[in-house]
Amino acid sequence: MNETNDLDPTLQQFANRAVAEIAVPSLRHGFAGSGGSSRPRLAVTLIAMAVALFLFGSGFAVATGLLSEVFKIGNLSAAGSRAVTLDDARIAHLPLPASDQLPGGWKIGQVQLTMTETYRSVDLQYRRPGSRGMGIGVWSEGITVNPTVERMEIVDVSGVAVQMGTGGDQRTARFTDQGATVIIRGFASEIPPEELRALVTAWLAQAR
Amino acid sequence: MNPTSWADAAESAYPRVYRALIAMGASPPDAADALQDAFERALKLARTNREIVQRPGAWLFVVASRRWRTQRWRSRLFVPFDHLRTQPTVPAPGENAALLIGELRRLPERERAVIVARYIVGLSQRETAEALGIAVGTVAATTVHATRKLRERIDERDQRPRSDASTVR
Repeated sequence: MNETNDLDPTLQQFANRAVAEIAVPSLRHGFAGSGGSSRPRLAVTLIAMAVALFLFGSGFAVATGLLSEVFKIGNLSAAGSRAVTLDDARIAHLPLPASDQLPGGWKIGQVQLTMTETYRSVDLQYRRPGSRGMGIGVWSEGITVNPTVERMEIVDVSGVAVQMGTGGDQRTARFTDQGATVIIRGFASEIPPEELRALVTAWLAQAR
Repeated sequence: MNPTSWADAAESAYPRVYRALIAMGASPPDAADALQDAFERALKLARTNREIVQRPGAWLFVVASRRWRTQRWRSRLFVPFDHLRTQPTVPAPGENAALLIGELRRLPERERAVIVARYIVGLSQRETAEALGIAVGTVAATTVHATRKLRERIDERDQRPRSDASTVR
């Protein structure tokens, strides 16, 4: 049976161009009978068993969200993180500020983009003179991230419920914006609660 | 075709099928592992099953896709630890690839599979239908419908300010 070519030539060209940007790793072993994946089944089984035992034994950690924190502070760069510009980070389709500056003299120093099969995230690292820095993380749906805090209160900022927390020498604000989880994290000695609220307000006004 | 020549043919299909798995949403290590497993299975079957040697690309795409879905289920179960494993050093996809992958992810699974099979793996309507186990008419209709959706969305995204705007036009 003859088939008509029902493919959109423009989309075909774009797809060709796009997939060409996907780097292909070289064959690990060749396939002519050498066999063996990078994760041998026995090793995978043993690791899975160990992980399962750990999970069963870590009910408390799961219940309190500590595992999310472990994941968050675990090496996110291992998931494919890369330094990009603020504009380039918009391909993650997460709410991000329109400019590279926030009230209080904060200016973006570095932007890290992470895209995995389960979630996307952008980490904005801000600087200002005399400060050790301030970070804003934005995570898509598909991952739950909770900062480790010792004290937490929920306040209303511009109609959005914001979890204001402190833990150690850090002060954090966690809230949801356009379906994404946003966490502003700074040093408590440098950012008083009023300024943190102002940063949340500025974020909500700027992010798109 | 003997197993050795089949392996040669399959190896030539490797980049195309690997990229198809990435476009489906697989991570680089998952795509590589799924493909490796599919190849190993193919080599075992190639000695006895002549049917699979006819279209190595299509066969690998289907088997590796299933294998990846199994891996995905497992990785969701162990998300906090899955990222601790050793990652191969593969550069992140470029901007056009990220845009395409993001928009493919928004499509329903069947539409995504059909689009990837048609546009990236390069299968015909009939081959796609056989590979995915659906009717040829369904493939044709899905291709038209999903193509229109994808074009609209990518064109719409392309209107937004970006540092290096990709062009679908």
